[in-house]
Amino acid sequence: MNQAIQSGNHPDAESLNAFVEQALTGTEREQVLAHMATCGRCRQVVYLAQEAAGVEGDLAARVVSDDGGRDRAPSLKPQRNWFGGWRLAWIPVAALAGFVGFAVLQHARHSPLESQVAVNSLQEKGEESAASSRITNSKAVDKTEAGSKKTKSSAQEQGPARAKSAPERSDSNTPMAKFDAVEQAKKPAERSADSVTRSSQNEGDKARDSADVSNSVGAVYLSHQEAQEEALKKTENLDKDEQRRQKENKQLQTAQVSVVGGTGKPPSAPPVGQAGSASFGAAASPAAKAPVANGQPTLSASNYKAATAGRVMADLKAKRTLLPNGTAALSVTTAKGRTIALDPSGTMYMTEDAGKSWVSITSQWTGRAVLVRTRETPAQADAVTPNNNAVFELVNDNIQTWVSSDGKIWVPQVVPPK
Amino acid sequence: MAYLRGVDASPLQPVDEPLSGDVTAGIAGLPKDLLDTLWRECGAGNWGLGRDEFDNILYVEGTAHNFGLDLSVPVSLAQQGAFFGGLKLGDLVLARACAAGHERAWVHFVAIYQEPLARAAIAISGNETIGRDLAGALYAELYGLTERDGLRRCPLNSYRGRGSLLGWLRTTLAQRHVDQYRRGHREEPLDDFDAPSLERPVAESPVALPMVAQAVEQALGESEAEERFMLAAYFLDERTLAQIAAVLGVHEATISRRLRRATDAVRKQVLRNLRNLGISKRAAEEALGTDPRDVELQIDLKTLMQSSRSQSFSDLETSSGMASGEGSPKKAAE
Repeated sequence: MNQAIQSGNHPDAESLNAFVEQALTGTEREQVLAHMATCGRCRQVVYLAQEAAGVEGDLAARVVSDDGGRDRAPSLKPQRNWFGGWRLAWIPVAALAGFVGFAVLQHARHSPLESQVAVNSLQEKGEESAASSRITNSKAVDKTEAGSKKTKSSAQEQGPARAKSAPERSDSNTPMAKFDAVEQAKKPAERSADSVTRSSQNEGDKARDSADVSNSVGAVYLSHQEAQEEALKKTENLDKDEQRRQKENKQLQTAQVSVVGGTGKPPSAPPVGQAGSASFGAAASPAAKAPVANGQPTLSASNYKAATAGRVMADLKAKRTLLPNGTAALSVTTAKGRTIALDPSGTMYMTEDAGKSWVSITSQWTGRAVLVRTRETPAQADAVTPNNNAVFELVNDNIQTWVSSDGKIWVPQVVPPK
Repeated sequence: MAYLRGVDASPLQPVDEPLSGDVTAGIAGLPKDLLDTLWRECGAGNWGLGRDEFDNILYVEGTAHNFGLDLSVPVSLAQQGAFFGGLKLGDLVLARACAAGHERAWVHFVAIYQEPLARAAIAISGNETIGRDLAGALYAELYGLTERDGLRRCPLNSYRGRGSLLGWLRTTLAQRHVDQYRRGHREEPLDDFDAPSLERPVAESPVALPMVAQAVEQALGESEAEERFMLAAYFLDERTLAQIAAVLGVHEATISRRLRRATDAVRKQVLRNLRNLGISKRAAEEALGTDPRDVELQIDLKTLMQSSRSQSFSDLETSSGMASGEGSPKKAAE
């Protein structure tokens, strides 16, 4: 080989042919390439030999295809199998088809849930519009109420009307329908909390009694069937807790009604707009608090929707929180990295490490604590508190409120004299 | 392809000379088991070759170039086996049997290679008459009609089995055709020579052209052999990417990518060389923008890449073929 590529000589036919057929070693190939880079004659030889090989290859392919039994006139162009060139293309095509099929299946699996959610959202929209009209009515009632019997009677008239709508829609067995029914019944109860009456309180209790059903809102992101199963399971498991809560609610309502009937206003009632969220097992979320304008609740539809979802999620969170005494938390709230929880007996626990270790808080309030929640603003509405930096609020079974800035030291909240 | 005109043809490859090498008698260096295996597989006995002849062929092929390795490297048994395994032993023994004049080998050779040889010659020459003449001449030479010093000489003795015998025949045909054409081209009348017009205006170049030539020569000298081959094939021979890819055995997209990379590298290197020669960057870039046709009139940059100044074979063939009306459609299309 080396002898064949001396200076001034050309590679012999053996070397050039071996180069074309890729049969040379690396060193030999480099030598031939170096020569051909400067030798037009050898390049021409290689090109011509390559062309002749191509003609021969085409002819051989034509002969092979003719041997296949096809009686056709010989053509100058090689007849290639049309699908032959696509042989390798079947692999990505098959992969693409598989992907599309998977996507269609996934879409088919989720489409019922989406349609269900769409239906529910439409229903909620309708309810929101209805609720807003009711809120307007409630405003009008609230303006003229001021403890008069006329307002009380009108509220009593509204109560059955609202309560009537809930059973009408709760005939559906689907969790989402139950959730709608519960929300339908719950909304008026929350909005008219400043004009608490027995009937409206009962109506709110009904909503709270079936609040567990609304836990299925968390299953909106699950499949429809899973959401149904989960909601039914939760409904069964928490049935006992709900019964106990009903009793506690009734006791609380009894005490509240007696207070309203006696003084016209509870001694330390929660601020306006927050009472609606004073439900058992539910911590008031920021969104759940209605904006206050001139002491009047002005809940918008979106705020109301968010408040409802926040309450439901807080309720879920409370039920999932397991306290050191082995019981599920009755009420849970979190702020400033601290989580405060109440057990059903009213004992308060606090944790600063996301529930890894709990500290029992000595009772500094009267009665049984039934609700803890977080305050968004230091001083809310017209309430005056000794500590304007208070973050947490506690409500006992007498609807009295205590506030705390750190969750350890609690002081009663004082309502300013009008 | 004017750069190739009027250039003497390079020395021809002596394809009819026997394989040179320090061949000594005996096969003591090769393992007997390996030789037995190769003997059975290649079927050398079918063409009338004896075992001694076969062993001698292998010994010559193996030891002439140290089994494809450097001469200073000791060769192991495995390397010997790999070397012989890479040879086209069937073709090799057939060629040697034909060269030795064994009748059965010739019958087989004619039956197998006569028609492909004719088709290849027609494809190479682009003309059936010329092609058949070319194939007939080589066929006669292969048969050993040529004698030198009273000895029958056969070009098949130079076939060493590195590639296929048919490929070797095609390459030999191409060599013969190119050399024949180049010899005939020197006998063409000067009237057909298309000399460049002297009235053609020469563009002013901001940089001295010899400096550009020196910078280009240095840049090309520093590039790899394969890059230089691709540049020459693409820019000088005006071959397509597919043709270059077929020669190098890679995809044409690879050729395109390597060409672009090589062009950029050469351009940068030329700029760098011009800067090293004391030319400002702007002047160097302007020099690279000079029309190569203008540069060619004075320094002929292509001679830097083309030591053997021969006219592009296909171009001349096309022009002559079209003038005589005998050119192939493919060449005429080019």
